[in-house]
Amino acid sequence: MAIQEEAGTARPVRLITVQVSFPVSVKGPYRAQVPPQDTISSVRLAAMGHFEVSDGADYAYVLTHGGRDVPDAETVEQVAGEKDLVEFRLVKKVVQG
Amino acid sequence: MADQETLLNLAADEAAVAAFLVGCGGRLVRDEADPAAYWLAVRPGSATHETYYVKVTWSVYPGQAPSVKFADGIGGPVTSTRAWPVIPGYRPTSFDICKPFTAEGFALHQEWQAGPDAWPTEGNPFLWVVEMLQYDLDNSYAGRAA
Repeated sequence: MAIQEEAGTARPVRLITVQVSFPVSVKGPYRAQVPPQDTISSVRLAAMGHFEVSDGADYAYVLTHGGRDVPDAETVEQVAGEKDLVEFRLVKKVVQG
Repeated sequence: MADQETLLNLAADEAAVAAFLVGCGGRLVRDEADPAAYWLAVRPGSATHETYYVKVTWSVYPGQAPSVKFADGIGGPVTSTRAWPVIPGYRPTSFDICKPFTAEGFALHQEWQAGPDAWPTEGNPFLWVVEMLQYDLDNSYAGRAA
């Protein structure tokens, strides 16, 4: 993908492929290409829509990467670094017990 | 003893569980006596020198949540409080996890049988349980129980 600059030359726009897996779904992983500055929150919500799940009073869905709970406010670029593909797992975080 | 359908369903899903655990520095071992029981070796992300052993026993798969117990080692007894990690909802003195992904949790909370906490039967619930265990170890771990 590219955009036109004023001088008329094309400048490549970086997109990062995000993939989110969730084991208890008949659907395959959620995949999208997003701008680096997109937040983890936007990816999480899109993945939850794909898997048809929503947060509840006693639990919330979070994205993990490398086992780490990734905060909503982080950007995709912060997680991906220089990589063009970043994989997440959608986990149901249960707070009761 | 679990029925043949359960064993076939477990066989179909266990490879993904084993691969996930290897990626986290752990491993999956099927119990020698009970083919519907598995042993996990798992490590908290913040304390990789600590290894915990978990016995996951299925009665009906994927229809019901498994029994989940911590043990001193693979094949060991599941009655040691020291075998348990300190994590909210994990109860070393009761030898259970009070969350809606274990048979023990559902037995304690009948209200989880329906609604958003109901046991999921689609996809790979075995992997889902193991991911939840690893998530708790990576993000809520506070040491070994005394």
